Amino acid sequence: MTATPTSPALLPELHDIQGLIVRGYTHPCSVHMLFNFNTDTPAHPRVPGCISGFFKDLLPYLQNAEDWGSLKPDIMLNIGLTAGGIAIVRPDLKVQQSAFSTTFKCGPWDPNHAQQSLGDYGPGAPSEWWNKKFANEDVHCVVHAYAMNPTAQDRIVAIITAAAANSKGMVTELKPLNSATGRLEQYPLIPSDYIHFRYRDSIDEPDLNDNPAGVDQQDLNNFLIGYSTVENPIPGPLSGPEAVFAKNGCYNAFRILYQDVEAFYNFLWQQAKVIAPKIKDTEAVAAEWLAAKMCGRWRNGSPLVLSPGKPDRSTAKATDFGYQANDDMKGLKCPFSAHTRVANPRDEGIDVPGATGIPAIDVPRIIRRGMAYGAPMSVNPTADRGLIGLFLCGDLSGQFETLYSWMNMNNFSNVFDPAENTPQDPLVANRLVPLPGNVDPTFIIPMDDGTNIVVKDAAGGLPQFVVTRGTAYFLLPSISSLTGIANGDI
Amino acid sequence: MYVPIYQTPEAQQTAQFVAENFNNAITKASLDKMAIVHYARIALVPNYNAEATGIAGILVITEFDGNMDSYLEAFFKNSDTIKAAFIALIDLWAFKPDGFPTDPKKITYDIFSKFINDRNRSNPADLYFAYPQSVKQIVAKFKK
Repeated sequence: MTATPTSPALLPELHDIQGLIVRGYTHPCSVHMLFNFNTDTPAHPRVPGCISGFFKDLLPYLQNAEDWGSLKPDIMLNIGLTAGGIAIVRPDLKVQQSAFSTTFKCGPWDPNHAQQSLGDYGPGAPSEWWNKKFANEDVHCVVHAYAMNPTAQDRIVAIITAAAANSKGMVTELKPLNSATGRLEQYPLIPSDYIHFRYRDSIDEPDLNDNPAGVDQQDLNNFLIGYSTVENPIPGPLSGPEAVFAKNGCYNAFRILYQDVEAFYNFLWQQAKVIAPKIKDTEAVAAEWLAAKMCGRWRNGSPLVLSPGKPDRSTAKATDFGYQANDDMKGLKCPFSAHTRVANPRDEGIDVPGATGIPAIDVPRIIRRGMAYGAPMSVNPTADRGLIGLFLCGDLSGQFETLYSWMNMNNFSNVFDPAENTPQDPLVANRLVPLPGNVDPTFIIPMDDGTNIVVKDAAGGLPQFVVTRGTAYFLLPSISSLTGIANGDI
Repeated sequence: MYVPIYQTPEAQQTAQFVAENFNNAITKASLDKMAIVHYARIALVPNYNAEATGIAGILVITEFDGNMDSYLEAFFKNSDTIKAAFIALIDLWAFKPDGFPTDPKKITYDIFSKFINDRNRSNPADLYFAYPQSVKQIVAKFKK
């Protein structure tokens, strides 16, 4: 390892950055294909040039971050590599000894690092991931393929499949689902902001201001490796040949979350019977009211803090608001543990080591590029369904894992009594995290009369609405780094 | 976290100094301010090899709340005392890879966190604990 830093660029090098990082695609079709590379064992020796050939075949479709004009590309793709994948395609980087972060190298299943925050257990435990069809360590590469219609999707999938088939067995597709294709496919032709719990999603994304000296968590230099000029920038690695390889890249915490829609709706309706008399309204209204309180936004997207009484079309895509600024430091409009309030507490106040008191610096942000998989309940009640989550960040631990730890153990703000156990994110958290066991399993809704509605099922807590089906940490390398792999002899 | 140290008289002396002076008022104030560390100590592990004497390495033993990675950044950016203590350990660390920086000005956050994480021997699943409450909870409870 040397301490030679790479030189930051004054403007983001869009031609060298994978497009997914800088812009959200809204293609109606996408497939997220996982691959394993040959690890070159005596029993299965590597055929030189075949893994490189896989990349070479995909390069013509690799989408950069430059403006594509008025017409979206009909088919296109982006590529991610795990630490294990980089170790194979760039053995010279000696990844395990390199300056890549420990959590990236160890992987999201590691009990001593990522799992301390992610808290996956039981049916969602790392040992159960990918429907046990392959090991977590087998995932080396993801190809995110996007298409404008199902026919075009078939075409790009055929191109990627052929690239793997041409590799003489050196690149093998991994199919994690129990569906007909086994692949992680976006449920086609539904709105890009749809999720199966029927909330509008993807409303609030970081601005990604291209200011290399910026200290705002939303700035692009907080996501893009090698672009920041601030002292001690976080996205790394910043030294050694690994810094050159990773420059203009970004990390992708790729997380597949099964959504138990039936359990969610049953819970809403059961609780609505209890809540309706308390809010003096019908059970149907109470169910929607509870759904909004759990999320922090109404189904249409209106934030509770701006539209506390009912959804309002004019606030449906609102992102510029605060909790302190809107007099909600008692949680009377939006409960403290509501999903969107935990995922972005805005000006609520962060009480963790190192907090500056400035929300733009203290609140971690991530870029979300997810989409729904599986048929909606109305189409097929028994289908496997959920979210293909692409959570992009410059620092897997400081951004993605920190936010997840807040969802699992809502202990980052003094809006809760610091002496007591705190409730979890009611939608996403892993319930009953075995360690350290100091969470309040209920959902608390403060009311105007000074009382709390304590939401819980017969077992005293909240059901598990979301189960992790798999997680992988990818680097989305630069176009030039991927081209280098394609031109190599691996 | 275990750091094998150089077997030189200077390194041995520095290790002894670090261990004897770790628990001081400044360290306590820094850790109190973070409000996540239940306890922390530095232990010197002696050489048990018949052909060697003195200190083989330094063991940093600490129990804290939450994910360590999230808080290393706080150590690095907001606690000069703790950061300096870890950088002193880098200086003493035997078997450093060629080119590994020891100049504090060249130790970026990714180098700092990698050094600590890669030497961390923690395995939370093996940990017995008598209570699940966080430092923040306990302190707040007893202030009531």
